[in-house]
Amino acid sequence: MNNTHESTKEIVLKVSNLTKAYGEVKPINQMSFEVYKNDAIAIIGPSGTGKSTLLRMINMLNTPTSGQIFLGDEEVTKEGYPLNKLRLKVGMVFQSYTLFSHMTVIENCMDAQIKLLKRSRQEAYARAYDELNKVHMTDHILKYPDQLSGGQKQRVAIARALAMDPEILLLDEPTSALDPTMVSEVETVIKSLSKRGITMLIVTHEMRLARAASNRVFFLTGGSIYEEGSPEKIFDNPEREATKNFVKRIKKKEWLIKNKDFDFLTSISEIDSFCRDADISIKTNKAIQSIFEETVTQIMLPQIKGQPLIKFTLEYSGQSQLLRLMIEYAGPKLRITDTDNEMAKNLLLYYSDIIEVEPTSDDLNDGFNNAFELKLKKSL
Amino acid sequence: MTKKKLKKYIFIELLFTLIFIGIFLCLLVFNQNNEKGQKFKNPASLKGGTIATWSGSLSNQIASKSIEEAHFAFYTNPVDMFQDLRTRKVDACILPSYRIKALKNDYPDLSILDQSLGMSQTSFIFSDKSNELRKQFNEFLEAKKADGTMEMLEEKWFSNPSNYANIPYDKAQLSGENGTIDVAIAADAIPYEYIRDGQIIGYEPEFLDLFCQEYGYNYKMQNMQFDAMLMGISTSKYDIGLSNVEYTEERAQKVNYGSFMREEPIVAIVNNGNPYSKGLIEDLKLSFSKTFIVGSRWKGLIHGLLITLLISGSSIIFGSIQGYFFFLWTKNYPGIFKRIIIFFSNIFLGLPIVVFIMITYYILFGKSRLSGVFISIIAFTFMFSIYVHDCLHASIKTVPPEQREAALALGYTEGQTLVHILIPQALDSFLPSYKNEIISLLKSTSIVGYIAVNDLTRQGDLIRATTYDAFFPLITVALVYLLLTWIIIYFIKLLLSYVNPKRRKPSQILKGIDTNSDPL
Repeated sequence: MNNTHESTKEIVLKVSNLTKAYGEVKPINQMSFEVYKNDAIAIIGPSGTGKSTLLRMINMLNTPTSGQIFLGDEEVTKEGYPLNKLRLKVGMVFQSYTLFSHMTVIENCMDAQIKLLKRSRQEAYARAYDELNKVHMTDHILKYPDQLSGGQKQRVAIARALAMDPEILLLDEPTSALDPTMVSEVETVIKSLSKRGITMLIVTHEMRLARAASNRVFFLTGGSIYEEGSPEKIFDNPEREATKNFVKRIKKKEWLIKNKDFDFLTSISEIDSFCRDADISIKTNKAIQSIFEETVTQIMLPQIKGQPLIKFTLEYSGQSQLLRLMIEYAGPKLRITDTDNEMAKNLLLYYSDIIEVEPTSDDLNDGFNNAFELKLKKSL
Repeated sequence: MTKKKLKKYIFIELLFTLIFIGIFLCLLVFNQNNEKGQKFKNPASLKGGTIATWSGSLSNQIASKSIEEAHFAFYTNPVDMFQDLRTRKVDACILPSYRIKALKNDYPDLSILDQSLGMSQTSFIFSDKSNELRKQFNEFLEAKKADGTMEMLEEKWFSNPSNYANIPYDKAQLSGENGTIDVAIAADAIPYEYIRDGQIIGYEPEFLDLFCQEYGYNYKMQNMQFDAMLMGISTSKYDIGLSNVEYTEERAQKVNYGSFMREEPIVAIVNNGNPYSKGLIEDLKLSFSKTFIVGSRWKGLIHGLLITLLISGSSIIFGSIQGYFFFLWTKNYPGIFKRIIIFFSNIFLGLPIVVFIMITYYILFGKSRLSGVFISIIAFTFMFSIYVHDCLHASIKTVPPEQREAALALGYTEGQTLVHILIPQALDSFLPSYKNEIISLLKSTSIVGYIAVNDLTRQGDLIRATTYDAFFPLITVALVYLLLTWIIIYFIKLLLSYVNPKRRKPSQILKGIDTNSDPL
């Protein structure tokens, strides 16, 4: 991980009172911060709060409404500043990788070097090969983008940006468009970048990535940096209320089932997202989904007459790596472990043990008179 | 496209072309129609029948006065009239008698009803700017009538008009010391004016020679359709028009007639039921010889082809370049420029190209004496450039917008992005549209006959008009267009595979790079 001796470091990027307004709406409002050399800053926050907008203003793909941006000593927001020169110093990796489809992998990484940095073909090749080697893509240099998987494309996109030797690298949700199976290969690459000391800003919602690759985390909401700190501080000991709520949202989730034809599929996919965000293993993730399905739809709902009232809670503590599943419900007691549905019961008991508990008592839980916890079996 | 696929493709295309030829040949066979119909003895017996007349001509006016209760069918040239008379779509044609007299060997099944319906008087016509010429012409004509020259010419050209292939003619040497006259001629009326061995000869050209010798003029002669010639004179693009122009009061308001040179009776021509076909093979042989061999007409077709290629080729090349620049301007200065281009796009969308070319020639360039070929190139270049612009615009839209952003983010300028990133990716969808526009342009140039340019189509039609035989000229012209189209398609396909980046070999991709010197 990078060290954070800010006082001795040079400032690579400085943002001062930056504002972006669309009429009355201000996704970015009077934001100021400094980025030091070798910093890897993760930018998190609720969707639509301007995280991507902020990133795109740094290389001026979006123009700020007011405020200043300094790259090194130069003010890039000054009128007439040559934007293509700016962008040579600011590399960007997009969510949708966007490789040039008419060029091979190696050419994607060489072309800009040759045309914009005026390097010789041999030089450009050597530099491109070097970066591609670091992302383990040298076996594919003569392939075309449509022959690569998403993860491979993103790795090439990173190599392409780095071959230009930018002063700072911007990554806009680099893993969002990827299949879950490919996310880890890209995360590994990004981790290695921060080890190399590459100065970067990463917009992401993957807590795991932020923890692994960054030394500073900005939590953005309401148009400004609401709270900032190290990953440990932000994720495990947030100070401010909104931060706590946001971080909690990716650490505890509840599902309320109030009628028999509730949206089962959405609930399953939310469980899946929660587990991935919380860095829960895929095996466990699938187990939890199975438990939910078997318990709620196969065992409980068939036994309930009239309108059901069921709450399913999933809680995860990153620090202690504890996982808690709880189901609370209203109405007469149901048969869970002694149900008639043999298949469902066996599946359920394969994954977990059932322990009866007291329903949690806070204001939201009016009406729940039964509860039990599902403890995942150790063998998982 | 692999070689195998290309061969297969060629084979299928040839097969289809052969099928089309086969269909045309079948049509020829079924055209042999020899049914015996009604026989007419005199014009009065045509009462209530279907009569073919040449619209706008004197014969038209006379016919409507002479024949009672007739249904009239209007034509724009005598070839079509004779064809329909032969197949009995009409009962009679009303025309000056020389039209059929010169061709009596070609049409043994058509004959004249002897009673004359009226007289047609003809002369040269002059533009409003050639009054001096007209005065000289009238003086000269008077003199030649008096000294027996006109009688001599009459004897030479009209005593046995069906011998038109052998009437001797030597174009006179003209000094041109007093100037050069621009002459428009519709050389499709044997023996007044017609083409033999690539040369325009006839009664009127010979008279013109004599006139010019006397007054020290030289002339530049341009062959065209009759209507184009009338237009050319009434807009003063040409000084004199030759086409045994019949005097009608309507025409006299638009053009200035010289004194009458000659008179010809207007008659009714009917089908006499004689067989005209010598059998399919003989007919085809005769048709072939008349189309290509007689009078070296094949040379005319080659010349027409060259004109078509010149106009199409120039328009395509210059139009493509211009279209590319329009595209760049639209990209860099959207707003006003885009509006202008869209405006012209809509004009070409809504205006038939014939109308467009005629407006260009007769109105926009009305006062100028630039040749029709040159004006066609200008008009088609402009039109093509608008189409190329639209093609480019549409194909760039197929490139995902993220590509532009990714390029900008790397530091490419807008211009570099367009040329190196967007256009190469747009080529895949651009080239097929471009191919279609090229072929469309090639075919569109076939209308330049309307503005007095002798392109391939016009040449074919000229032969048809002169030989009164439609099959070979039109089929040949059609096949040539098909062949040209096919060649264009072939080359664009070749180009598509050539610019396909995935066809490059590794040695091409890594040109100039030593992969052995360890970069790590």
